[in-house]
Amino acid sequence: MDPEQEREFRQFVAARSAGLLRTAYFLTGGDLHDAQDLLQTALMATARHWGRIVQRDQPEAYVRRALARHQINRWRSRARRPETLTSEPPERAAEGDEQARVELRHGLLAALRALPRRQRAVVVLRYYEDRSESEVARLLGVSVGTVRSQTTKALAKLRAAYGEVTERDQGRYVHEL
Amino acid sequence: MSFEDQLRSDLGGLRLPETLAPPADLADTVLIGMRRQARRRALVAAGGLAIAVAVAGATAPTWLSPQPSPGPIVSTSRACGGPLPTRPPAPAWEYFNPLTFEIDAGSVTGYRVKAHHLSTYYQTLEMVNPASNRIVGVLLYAAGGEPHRFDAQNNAVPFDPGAGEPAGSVHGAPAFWLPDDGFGTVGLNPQGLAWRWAPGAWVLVFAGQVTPGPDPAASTVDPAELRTIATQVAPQLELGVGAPVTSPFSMPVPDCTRLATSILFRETNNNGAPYTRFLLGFDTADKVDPTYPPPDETQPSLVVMADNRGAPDNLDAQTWYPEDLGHPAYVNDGTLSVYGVSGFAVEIWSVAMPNADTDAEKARLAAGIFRTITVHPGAADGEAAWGDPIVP
Repeated sequence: MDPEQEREFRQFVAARSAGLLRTAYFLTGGDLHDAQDLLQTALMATARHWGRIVQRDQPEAYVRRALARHQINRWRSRARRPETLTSEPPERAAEGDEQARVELRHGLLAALRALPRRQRAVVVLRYYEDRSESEVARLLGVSVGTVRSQTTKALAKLRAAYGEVTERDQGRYVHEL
Repeated sequence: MSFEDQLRSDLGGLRLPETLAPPADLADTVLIGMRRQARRRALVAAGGLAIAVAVAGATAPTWLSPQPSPGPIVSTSRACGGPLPTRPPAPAWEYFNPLTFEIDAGSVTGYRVKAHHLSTYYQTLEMVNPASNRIVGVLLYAAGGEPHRFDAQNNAVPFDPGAGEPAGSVHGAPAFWLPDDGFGTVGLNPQGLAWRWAPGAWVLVFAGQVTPGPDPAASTVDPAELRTIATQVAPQLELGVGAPVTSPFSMPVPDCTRLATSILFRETNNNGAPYTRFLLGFDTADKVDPTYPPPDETQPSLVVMADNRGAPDNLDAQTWYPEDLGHPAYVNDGTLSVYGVSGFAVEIWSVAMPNADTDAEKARLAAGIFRTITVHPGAADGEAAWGDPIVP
């Protein structure tokens, strides 16, 4: 990486890392430490090929693809940080709307965390990043049919786990978020 | 509103933690890491034998060492190419047995051993002193391992610990202070001490402060105090002890693999309850790479892991494994998780194993391996009941 490319890379990280970290946060099922680790890993992979990536004018797409694929394949966090398997630590006591928001966050993140990694990646890309099925297929390196089937399975599980929370409390707080 | 629209709305509107912000030095960190990786690859490509050792996850110390000449390999199953000898510790410490502890910190007062990582050409140990918030890391090289550090350009360069500032002696061998930087971190601002524990074999001991939280800059650590800790701990370590690794479970070496690593973590869960996690990593027989990859970059071909922290609370949403394994079993992207196995959860996953390319094939392979596992009686009650990890 020459000095000009390094300057471009730094600008890219400064401009885009906050949004990328949010995606990483959902991909990891709401583990902040793991999300930071995941983003750093994906950016390192991006930096190695920065010259080629910039020529194609697709740096953000490359990072997002790296995020999704690294999240599916990593092993270090599985060995070292089992916390990703379990529920969030209890948050401080809250009342009223604040309590409802905490419950929603817990419910949504717990439901995401319970998904297999590939299904979680599909959900995040489809419904958080609002990408089309074909875009998700390209990012994950799978067929559109696989994206559809994974989406169907993931939605069924989310509906069973998280849907109860939202249906129970819908109208009370969901749209206040 | 449809459920999909609801999900889209909730994900987009979810209030995220205030701490969810990229660190200001993210680009620097990434570029440094990228250059280190590039340097490692260059060393390997040039015939150098390099390895990076991570002891403590995200706050891991990073050391780089060329490897000594590859020795015989740990037992490989007979199904692929015939039996190979099991691997005792080499007489001259050219290599280690991943099932034999060579570092004993039992005499170090005030510290609790948190992690062991045993591999072929290095062993590491990490211990903490909760009262003083100090952490000590030990990196034990096999003979011929040449310590490396990172220079100002973040290139990994070999260095001679013996050229450092004299630090007296440890176990009768001259000891030397390591440079202040260039080693990654063991906690914060680590101070390192080195001596030759066997002919041609270095051991490095680092003392640092446990990372205090989101604002490490707020921490003040007296280097002199850390040096004192290193000099106090070093002579209390026993090296080359040859203590057998015990495991909560036993299993035969899976077909076409050799044992590459064993890892033991003693952790606490979110509620502060202690638990233990033990992991065996196997590599495929045709993956005989003397530059065994660092644990944070390339995973073993097959991993078998067990812990007694209990089942997660979201099992209802997980996918059952379709065959009866005698316990609640779930599959997630080809990873098999089996709960309630004599007090342990067992997790098995693989990459690049023969005939296990799809998730379904990986799950079937994992299920087959699970059926070969036996938890030692009473293992969940404590490590005293653990036994041999590998059975013939």
